[in-house]
Amino acid sequence: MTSGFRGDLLRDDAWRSRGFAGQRVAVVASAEEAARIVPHVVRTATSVKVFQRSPAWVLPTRVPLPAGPIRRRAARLHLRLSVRDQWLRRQLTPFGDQPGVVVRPGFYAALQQPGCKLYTWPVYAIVEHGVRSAEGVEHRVDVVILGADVEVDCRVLREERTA
Amino acid sequence: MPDRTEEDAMTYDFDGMLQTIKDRQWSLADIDWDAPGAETMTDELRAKLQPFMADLMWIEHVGARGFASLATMAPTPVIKEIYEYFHAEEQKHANAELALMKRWGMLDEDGAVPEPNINVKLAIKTLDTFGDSLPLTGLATLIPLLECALDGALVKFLLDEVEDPVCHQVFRHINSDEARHITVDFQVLELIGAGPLHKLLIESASNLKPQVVLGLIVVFVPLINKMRDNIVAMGLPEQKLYNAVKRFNTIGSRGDHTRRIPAYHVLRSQAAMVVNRAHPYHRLLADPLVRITGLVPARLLGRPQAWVDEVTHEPVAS
Repeated sequence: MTSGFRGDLLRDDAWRSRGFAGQRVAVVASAEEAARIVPHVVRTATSVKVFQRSPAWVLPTRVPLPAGPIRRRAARLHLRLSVRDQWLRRQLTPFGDQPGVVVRPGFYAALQQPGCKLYTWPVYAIVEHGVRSAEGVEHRVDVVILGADVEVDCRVLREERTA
Repeated sequence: MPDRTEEDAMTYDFDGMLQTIKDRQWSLADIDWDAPGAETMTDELRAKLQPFMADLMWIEHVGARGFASLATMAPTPVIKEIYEYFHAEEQKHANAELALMKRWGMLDEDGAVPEPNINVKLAIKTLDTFGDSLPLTGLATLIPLLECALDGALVKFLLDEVEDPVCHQVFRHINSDEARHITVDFQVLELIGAGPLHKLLIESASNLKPQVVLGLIVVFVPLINKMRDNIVAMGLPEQKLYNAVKRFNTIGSRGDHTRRIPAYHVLRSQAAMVVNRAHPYHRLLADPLVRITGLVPARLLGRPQAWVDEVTHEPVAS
């Protein structure tokens, strides 16, 4: 059904060294990883679709607070103050026990730029023209960036494995 | 047959199921939405089915939101991931049903999503307000009941009425997804039911919070009844509704632990009353609530959260 993705598939830190002018980009990563990638990509890309694998508590800067519930509470406040939209805020909220809080400046602002959109649908395949996610839509993009901590089970990679 | 222990209930292969779910993904882009067959939709059938399809699409969309809540309270990380897939799959079903509506000329020229009725709007409001704080056992029991009804009655009815091969192709996918949902839903009930009794009772007691009880009654009783009466009026034999509820009972009673969940018994009794039109439940509770909720001005409910706008009939997005 597919001969592999026609655009650029970037892994690890390959996204750091390049611009994305005129390109539509999909980022498939955990929030921890996406929060590093998205502020960089959103500066130059035409559009960015962020497929977040799992949310994380995020602070924009280091704060002199002890790790644990107090720091998480600060992160929750940061989310509350940074994101007005209730559903977007819910998508970004980790539920259950979360081990820690990551420091990533500019993530929430980047997500709310025009042309940037957050999805929480699982991505199950990378196909010729983009990514397919479990809500049944094929998202056409020119570049796919996979977070280093993402275990991808997608067609293009499956073909490589069996080749 | 010897009673199964808690350990047995824990041995269901949720990892294997998760892998199957990943392997069986399908996309709206796999379907040829312009294939022949749309012409089999007559004007008469189109007019009759349009409100039914809109309700069906909205119930799947609201069901998706239910799985989003379930994912936040899943008992294990694997079940959480399964629920995340189910959340997306219910959304996919809503998307596919909207795409069928478009194919059949049931949408306006801009392809706008039909407005939900007041009872769906109330359900959206309830899920937005309480969804993530509803107790696991209540939600985990309600969802398979709705799925048995959707799968067993509504969808079968639709397939009896419609010849279009694309509709049959779409619902082959949807039905096979729903079969997995129902399997997992009941295995999770078994897992929860096998837990300590005091935990079940505490959870059930929190089900009895006044806002939860009122919310469930005011919102879901008329929502279900309106849909029930609409489809029976369209020609769905009531026997099919009985069968759907019977299936919920049959699968539920097959396990050894599901019956320990109080919410299962409450919903099972309610479902039995819903299908029996002669039961006083209708005269005393459901019918008046349908009338009363029909008077609620939608603007009182405020703007729903942004997830309601996520439904789309487009198989491909740039």
